[in-house]
Amino acid sequence: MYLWDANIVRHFGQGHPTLQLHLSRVPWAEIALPSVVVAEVLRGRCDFALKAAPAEAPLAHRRLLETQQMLLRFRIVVFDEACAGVMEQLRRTHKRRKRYADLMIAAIAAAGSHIVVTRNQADFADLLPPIQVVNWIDNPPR
Amino acid sequence: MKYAVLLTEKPDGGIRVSVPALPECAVEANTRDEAIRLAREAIAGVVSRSEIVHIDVPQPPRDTAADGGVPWEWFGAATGDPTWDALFDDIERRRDVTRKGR
Repeated sequence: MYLWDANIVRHFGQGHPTLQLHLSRVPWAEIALPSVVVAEVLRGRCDFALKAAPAEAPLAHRRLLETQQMLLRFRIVVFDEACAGVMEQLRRTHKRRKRYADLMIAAIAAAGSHIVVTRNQADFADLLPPIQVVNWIDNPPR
Repeated sequence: MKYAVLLTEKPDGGIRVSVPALPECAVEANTRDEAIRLAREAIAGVVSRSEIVHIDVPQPPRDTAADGGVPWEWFGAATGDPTWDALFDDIERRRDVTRKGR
């Protein structure tokens, strides 16, 4: 499974042409979002909806529901107990140097032998083997 | 136990009673009171001859998320939406905070 980092979801919404090329070559059934990214995106949209000024609130609530509908079109790989075990190992090895969500995504990928798709390959460089991290924005398909 | 029953006036008079929870259970009557009485008897009759069994079906339902292929209607749907950029800028900012905090 190709696990999308949040920055790939960003470019999906923006219609990035290189991402489009990859999408035309990879079956949609092989693409998934880590539940971490789903949580981050929904948290952002929920915060927007709950904290918006009255004039901005209608837009914020519309965006929340639209984003929820878009996320429903993705497969989601859940952070489960196996991921938690891998995460503990990663945290012991990389204490205080790694971002928490990056560790969680890496743990999901490692536990399920998934490939992380991200624009920030450096964030995962020492967490996963190079073959398990790809960039669908700056590197067009071969 | 309470059952919802649907009382429908027939074009030629009388009332037809159906029970959404028990599709095979239907009666007809001339008056509303009679319809309700007959419905209660019919439901009781079915229920007295029935039991509820919960069965486990291992086969999962079809995964509709991936069935339709790439959801192109959402590809580029946020183009020009400043709230989309702000959303993902904020995600990166929040992740950066956790680098030092843990």
